[in-house]
Amino acid sequence: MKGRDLLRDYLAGHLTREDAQRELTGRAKESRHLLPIMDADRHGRHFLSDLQPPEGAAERLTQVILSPDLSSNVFRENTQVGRLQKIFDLMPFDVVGAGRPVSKSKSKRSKIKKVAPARIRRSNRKTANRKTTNKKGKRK
Amino acid sequence: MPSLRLQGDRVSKGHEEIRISPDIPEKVSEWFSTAATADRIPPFFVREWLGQVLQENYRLFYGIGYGYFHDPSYAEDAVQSAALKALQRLRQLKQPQTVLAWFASITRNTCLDLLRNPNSRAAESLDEVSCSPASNSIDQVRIDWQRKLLVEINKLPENQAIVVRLRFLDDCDLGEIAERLGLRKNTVEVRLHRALEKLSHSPCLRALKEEYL
Repeated sequence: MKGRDLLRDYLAGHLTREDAQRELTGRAKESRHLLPIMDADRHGRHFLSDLQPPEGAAERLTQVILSPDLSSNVFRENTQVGRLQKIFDLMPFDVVGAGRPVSKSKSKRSKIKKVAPARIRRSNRKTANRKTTNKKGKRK
Repeated sequence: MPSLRLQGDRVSKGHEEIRISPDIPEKVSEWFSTAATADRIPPFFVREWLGQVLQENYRLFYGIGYGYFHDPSYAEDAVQSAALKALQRLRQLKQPQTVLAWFASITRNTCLDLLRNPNSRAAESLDEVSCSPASNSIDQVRIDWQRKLLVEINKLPENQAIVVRLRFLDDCDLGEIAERLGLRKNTVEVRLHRALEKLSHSPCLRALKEEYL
């Protein structure tokens, strides 16, 4: 029997680990690497088979899912308002510093229009006509 | 989205053929194929079905939480939080036959979120627990090995971890795992083989073998 078939039979529960070991003779000896895999499986099942959740935990979970309050709590849209938001809602709208009188000098200064300096156009001729050879005619 | 046509225990969806678990009531599969996107709150019969499925496979989900928190009450809390998350997103589940794998992913993500959140109750990190001294009683030693094994399983990719959990915790064979996860037998075999190979190389299982054999 091929190694892969052997493992399949073992995982399907048709073979025990000892049977598989007996089968691993002759050409199938190459598949001896399957034995540690079977050992890992055996140990894992041996140790985790008796893992017990707390008593009544599964029933509590079902109750959580079926409880009538669920629709009001879990599916309610996030309409809760925080404490800070409540304070802001009570206060009249005001921008900090908006009520302060503006001084005369500041108001005059604001009237002066700021004009952006004109751009000086530079021609690209110089760079375009830059020589790529030196005086002797050799390339740089 | 192409509509699903029920054919006995099989559903054809375009070219693919998906095996449907016989446990899913027709009413529920109909809700998933038609009304799930419209209903914001799943109806009672869907919640009832979900509750039943989770209750039947509770050990599987508890194992995920226990592997992360190493504490029964934290693990239970994590599974409950995951259940609430799952309820909120139940209409996003496209194939009800894959509900186990879907909920296992949610549980795992919830555990990781709780561990990352500094304000959560889960104060003990994995490292602290693994370094904590084990008492000499046989039960305590066994519990420590269980924890270590679950930690190793949690390190696997989720698609392999769920297969191993079903194998180790519920002692399922290939056919049963395939049926419960809505997968093909060959897929399960490949995943289980890969996962067991990784586990066999893990220092935890090597130490376990040396100690007990």
